[in-house]
Amino acid sequence: MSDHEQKALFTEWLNEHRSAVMKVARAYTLSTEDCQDLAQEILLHAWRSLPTFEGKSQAATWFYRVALHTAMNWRRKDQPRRIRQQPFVEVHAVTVGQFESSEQAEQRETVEQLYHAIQQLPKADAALVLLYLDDLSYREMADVLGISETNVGVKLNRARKALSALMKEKSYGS
Amino acid sequence: MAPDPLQQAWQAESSQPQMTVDTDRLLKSVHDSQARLRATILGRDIREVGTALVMVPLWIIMGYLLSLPWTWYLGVPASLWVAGFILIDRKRHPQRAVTADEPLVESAQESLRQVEHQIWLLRNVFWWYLLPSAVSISAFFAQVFWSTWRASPPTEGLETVIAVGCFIFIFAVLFGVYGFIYFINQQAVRLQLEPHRQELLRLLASLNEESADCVEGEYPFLTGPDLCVASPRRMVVAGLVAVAVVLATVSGILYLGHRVDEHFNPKKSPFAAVRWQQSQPEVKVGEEWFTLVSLDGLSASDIVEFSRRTYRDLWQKRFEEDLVDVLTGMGHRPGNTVRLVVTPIGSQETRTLEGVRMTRANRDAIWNAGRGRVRQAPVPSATHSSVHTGDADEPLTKLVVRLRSEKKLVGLAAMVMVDGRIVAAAADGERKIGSGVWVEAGDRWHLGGLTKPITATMIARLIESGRMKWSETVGERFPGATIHDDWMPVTVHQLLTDSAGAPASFSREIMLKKPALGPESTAARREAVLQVIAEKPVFPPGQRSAYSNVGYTIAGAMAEAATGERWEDLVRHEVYEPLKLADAGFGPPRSDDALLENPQGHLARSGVKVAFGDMTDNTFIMGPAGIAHMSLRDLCTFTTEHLRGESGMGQLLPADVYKRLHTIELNRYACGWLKKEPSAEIPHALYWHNGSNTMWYALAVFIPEKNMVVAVTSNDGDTENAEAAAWGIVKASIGLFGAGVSSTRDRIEALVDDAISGR
Repeated sequence: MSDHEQKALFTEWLNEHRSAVMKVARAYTLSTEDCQDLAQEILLHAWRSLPTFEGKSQAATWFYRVALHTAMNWRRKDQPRRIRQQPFVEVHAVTVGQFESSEQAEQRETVEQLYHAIQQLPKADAALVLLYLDDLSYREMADVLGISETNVGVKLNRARKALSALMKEKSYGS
Repeated sequence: MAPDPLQQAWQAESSQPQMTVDTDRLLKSVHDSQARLRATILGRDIREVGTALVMVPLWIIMGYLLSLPWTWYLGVPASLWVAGFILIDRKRHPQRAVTADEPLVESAQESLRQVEHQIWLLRNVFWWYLLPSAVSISAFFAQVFWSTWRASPPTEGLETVIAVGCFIFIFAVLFGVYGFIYFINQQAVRLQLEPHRQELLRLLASLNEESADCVEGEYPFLTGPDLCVASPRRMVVAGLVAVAVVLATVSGILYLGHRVDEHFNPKKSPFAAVRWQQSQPEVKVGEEWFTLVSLDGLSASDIVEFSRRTYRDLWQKRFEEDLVDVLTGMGHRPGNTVRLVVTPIGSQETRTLEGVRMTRANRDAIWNAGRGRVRQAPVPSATHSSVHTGDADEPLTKLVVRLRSEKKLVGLAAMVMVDGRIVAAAADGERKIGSGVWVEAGDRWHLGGLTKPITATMIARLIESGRMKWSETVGERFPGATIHDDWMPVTVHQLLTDSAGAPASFSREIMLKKPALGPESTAARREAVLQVIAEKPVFPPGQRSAYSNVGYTIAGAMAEAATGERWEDLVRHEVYEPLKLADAGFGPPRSDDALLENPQGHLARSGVKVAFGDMTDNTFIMGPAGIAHMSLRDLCTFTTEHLRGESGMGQLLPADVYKRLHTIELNRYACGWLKKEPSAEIPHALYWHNGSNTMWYALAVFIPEKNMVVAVTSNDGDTENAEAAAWGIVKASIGLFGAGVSSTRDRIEALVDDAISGR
């Protein structure tokens, strides 16, 4: 794949799946700065891995693999090493629309709670929940994680329970 | 299945753009990051493997140049082991980059495998990295310490304590350094690698095991649980075990080396002692002395003849201490016993002694006897008749032996010449520390700054023959060169009397240049001199006198420019040859290392004296100020020439020129000589000069009133002690030999004691 083709494909995929990158980055970090750093790292890995993409899985699955792998190995202490990199990702804070409906506001609140809960889950459970929330099938989840579909079912069930418990705690707390 | 409200909220939220990406910068970052990764890997390989491989030739060159003991070379296999280990490890466990798009379980497993291997490497750093180098360095220190101990055993309790203390201190520092390296490696495991490993294990456990909430007891790969967490007690025990392993290995290596040496070079003798009647060996077998007729059918005269031919000056020593070598060299390696044909002393009867055992004890007894024995200088027969009686020879010998021991010098030698004749000569110590080869007064010695009077004499000869002038200036001699105005009027005479304003030494950059003696050193000398005279002198010329090697080098370069000949050739033609100084040369006196015909210079390194071979010297650029060597006899002959010179009896120059050479300028320095006025200590005026290239020491003194010359040399760079010993010898020699031969034994003893006690 030439650089030009790679760039074209990457840009196309990025437009489609940037939300996955962003969600993973946000789920595994606590600050906007860390989130941006992890997102950059995910995209760097994605670019490097693109030439080895064999087309056996879907682009969405592939992006999740890369994102989760990077997030699992991401270290806050690695940041100084990346300081020399010119930032190529800019994370925007979610703007609250002037005419946001109460339903939208409630939805946004729910998502915030979800991120908060996911950040408290074990890393593997967090990965499952992210995949589940993005509505990937058991087959796709198994493909991303490298485990059996049965195992996905068992673990997802447990992870969802943990998530629900955390969400309830949050609700009661608020 | 009805959509989960959380899913709905999540997916709705995701429609909002939250991130923008600059793909051009991304591309650039990828390239930068790959370049950094390559640089990191290359840097790591160079650091780990490259360093080890560079150390190998460096180690060999240092060992060769400094004539270090064989244990030094253990560093070579140690370095090769480390480099080889790293290379093989890289081959077996390549640090392949984990592909980011692998399923999470597989990529986590690969990461875990790599982390665990890294932990294994760091936990075992003692075995593959620290142990080999610790063993090689410890063995070297142990051998040097043992050699030094054997060569100059401490004479009192405090010295023993200090010597052992130094030895223990060196090892403590060594183990401290290695302990620290080990500690930081274990810290890296504990603080970085192990937490990462635990995290990966937790991740794998939570993905793979249906019921696992934790990972305790589950370590599917290389390492066991939490081995890196050790109690202080365990660390102390581990440290002691490490020390014990190193010491045991070092002892084993030294013992093995000793046995190998014993096997290939057995130190055995059938004689309990050996003495000589001219070239005829008399040997002690059991308690009886015999004249040796033959050994295993080889006639004593043949053995002596072979030893003379093969070992030259050392032929007696080889016969006495290395008889197995000598006989092996003759093609008759002896067995455990030999057959001796001998004649009892004072008898004509020949007796055959069958099955006389060759023993190490015999050889050691001979060696020990040799240590206490001082080799006398081979006094030339022409002057032998003028040598004073045994009373004269003996005290100088006694003095040299006691001063060398007192001042802990590797070797010390002295010669006294009165009325142009050698009256006494003595030498004691080793040519190379630990070698067991004794210095002799006939050896050649490096003279360091004592080269200056030689250069001054040579230039005076050129002036006498009209090839130079006392008044010629730097400006005249180097026309066309860039010369600072203050240097222009500086004369040869000012340069030779240290009053030219020249700096004491050359810059470090010039001192580190090592051109070969010959055209290279002459060209480099001129270049260095032009560099100096382009700058302002360090003080106004002609106003005061201050020690300078540079001034003499400039004078030497002027002589070279004036004649078109090299400095060393001029010295050879103008001084060495006319005075028939057959044992004079330049640079350290050379030796075949096996035969060690001449001493080697020594320098203390971390409290241990180390031989510096026969290659290490001042840069030959400053040859005119400090690289000549001579035998004591030649040094006395040269100094006697100056002694006689003033009274018009010199061979090389007329009296007025010698007077000029000996006239002190600006209350300090003549042309290569200093003057000591009569004092309570030495009640006679004397001229002297000393020198040292930091590995040798030499002093020459002439006392016109006594018509006496004293020369003292040492192959030890401990100039403070060498100088004290040398002046002690000078002072005692005036008392011993300056008053004729009538000295009584009591007076001689008193003089010797005074010299040793520094009174």
